[in-house]
Amino acid sequence: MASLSSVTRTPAWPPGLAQHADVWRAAELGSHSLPALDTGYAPLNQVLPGGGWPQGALVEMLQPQAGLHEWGLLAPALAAVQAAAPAKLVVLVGAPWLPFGPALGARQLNMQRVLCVHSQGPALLWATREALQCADVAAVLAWLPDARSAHLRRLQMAAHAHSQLLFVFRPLRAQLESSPAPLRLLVEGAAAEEGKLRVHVLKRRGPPLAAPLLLATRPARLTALLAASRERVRRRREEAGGLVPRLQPTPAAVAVASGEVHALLDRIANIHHH
Amino acid sequence: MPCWIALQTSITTEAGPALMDEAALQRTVASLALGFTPRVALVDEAVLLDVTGSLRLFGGLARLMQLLAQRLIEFFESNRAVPLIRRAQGATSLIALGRLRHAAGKPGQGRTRVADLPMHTLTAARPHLGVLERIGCRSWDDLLRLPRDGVARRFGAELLEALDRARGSLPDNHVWLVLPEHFEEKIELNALVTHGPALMAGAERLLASLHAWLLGRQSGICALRLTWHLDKRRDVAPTGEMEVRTAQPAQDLRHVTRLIAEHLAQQKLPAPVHSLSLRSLVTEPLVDAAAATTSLLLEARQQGDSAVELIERLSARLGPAQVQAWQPCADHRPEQMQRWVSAQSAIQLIAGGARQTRARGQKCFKKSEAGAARVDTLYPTWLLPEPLRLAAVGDSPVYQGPLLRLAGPQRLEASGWLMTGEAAGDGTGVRSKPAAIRDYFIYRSQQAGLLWIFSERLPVPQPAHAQRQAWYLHGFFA
Repeated sequence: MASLSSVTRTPAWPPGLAQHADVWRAAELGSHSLPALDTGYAPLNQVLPGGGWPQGALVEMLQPQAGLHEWGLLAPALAAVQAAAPAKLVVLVGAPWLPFGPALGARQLNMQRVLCVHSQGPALLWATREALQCADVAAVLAWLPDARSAHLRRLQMAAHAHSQLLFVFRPLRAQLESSPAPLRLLVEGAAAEEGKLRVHVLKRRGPPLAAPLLLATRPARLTALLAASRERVRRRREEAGGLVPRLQPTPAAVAVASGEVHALLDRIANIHHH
Repeated sequence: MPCWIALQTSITTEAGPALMDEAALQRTVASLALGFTPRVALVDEAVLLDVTGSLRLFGGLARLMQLLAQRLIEFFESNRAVPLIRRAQGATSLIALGRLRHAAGKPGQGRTRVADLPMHTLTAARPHLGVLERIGCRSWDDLLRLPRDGVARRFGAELLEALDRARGSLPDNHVWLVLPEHFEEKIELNALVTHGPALMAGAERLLASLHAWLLGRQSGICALRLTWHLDKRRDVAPTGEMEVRTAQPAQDLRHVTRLIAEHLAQQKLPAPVHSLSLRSLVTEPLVDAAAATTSLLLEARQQGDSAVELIERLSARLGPAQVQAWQPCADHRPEQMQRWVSAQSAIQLIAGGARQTRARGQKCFKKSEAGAARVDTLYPTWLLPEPLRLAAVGDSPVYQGPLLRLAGPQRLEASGWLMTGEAAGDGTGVRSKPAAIRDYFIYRSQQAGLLWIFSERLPVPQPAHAQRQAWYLHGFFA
């Protein structure tokens, strides 16, 4: 009766089908049957099925170079995981560089509970799987440039069996390969957009995402510092009538600074206070 | 009232003879039985246990028998063997043994009256079975009815003595089994082994008896040494060995077995190996071992490995230096602010559960408060292990194309009095240089995001040709 009076765009589910979390409409976002973890970014939560990072599924992230955008995107979620289970470890497998504790500590990560595993080739996959099987591990971050689809399938099964958070970082060339990951993202920096992060959702349970997301992942202080520097350059340029294109430390300034008694001259802080 | 149990175990699967022979099997069962009572004796083919003092602790005879059988079955199943356990119970050791033997011939006779036990179930009567049969003595009772003097004259005093012991009028004179302080066992391999991983089959046999020894001593192993004896005809050292250590005393040897397998997988044998020996180096008594093995909580926790096991396993295969944990340092130079150390050396700190973390919390908190200045969002999240020297075009550095300076400089005195001692000589590259001043800048690259780059200059005025700035990439803002 109701359907006759008003044309509803989403007709009711056939009985018995609505309970299945694995069934979703092509035009709607699927609801994950897995528990989801808040990503810390509201726009990202909205486009992910279940409203966050799926726990117990492989999340694949493609990026042009390893070591560019991982922490900005994941730090809020990892900090939340560590806050919820302080005794559990976060395992990094094959990290491209050394994670820098002072900066990550500022993002509320407990570095004492981070384990870093270095290796090459098949041992990386083995270490990832071992870490997934460990009951004391809260999340696994793996950089697997050479992993093939079959390897990832095994990791996906391990993550599912042990209900672990698993993020795998791969280069852009993996975009054309098939992947068993239920969620695939492509992450790139948007230099023109004040250093925001551009996130394409390549694959998810739901319709393809039309436009990429822009996320401001930088810490507020860093953003403020960069804005202040930019402002300062602009002012200088105005004062100099556009003759000095960039901020350069003049030789005179350096000479003064080297005569300073203090070992540490934090000029960045000065800029920030202006 | 005294209470004895007689046990006899045989392995029914194919793996039986390969895992351990008859005598080793009996010893193993006896070690396991030591977990229930200290009075265990090996008599002929059976293991005899005096459980009189243990009944109350384990909640009665039925419960104790059940636990004992359960422990035995669990042990053998973990070694992929199915045991056949026969047991009998009696008021003295010889009654229990007699019933066990009687039940072996006629199943279902485990509760025969003592008086009706046939003569052959008494060890002391075995030399005289023919004569006893002919004079009509078929059961113990028949013999006891005969005049003692005549029996003593005809069959010797031993038979009467054995009967008295069986009736409980004489005390038992068993030699109680005592497990040695250290486990040491050597086995000959079935065939010469030339391949490291193939030693695992032999090692598993040794580990099975080590497991039984640990259960008997109610302790856990912390360190052990596996030695392989090489063929003497080759011109190599006669033995090779390895030590395996675990951070937590383990009674369940699955983790230790995997560690040994990892080590053996990397082992190269210079000559064929003919025998293996295993020695326990450090063991620790487990206070509540009896309770722990049957605890439901423990079973629940074994859904996954613990952090300690993970670290030890990763370190065993990849090498201890490849698995790293973080340690903060109080220093103003970025590369000295943190140290990534081998996780195995810091294992207690990392794997210490929430309890330890909480206990240390107060102190740690103060320490980290003191170093709170080091936590700063203006640092990059990735640090290069060694600063990377960048090429320069004109006055500015180049990394994957031209760079745009966004912020800086931030000046750090990178050396000075701190560097004069230990670090000045041993470092390489940047670190070995004498007192230098660094100006840190944030640069933006089209491809690589935000970079943390410093230019280094010496504080003393340099000649003109050395005035060129050196640019180093030190981190990424990811």
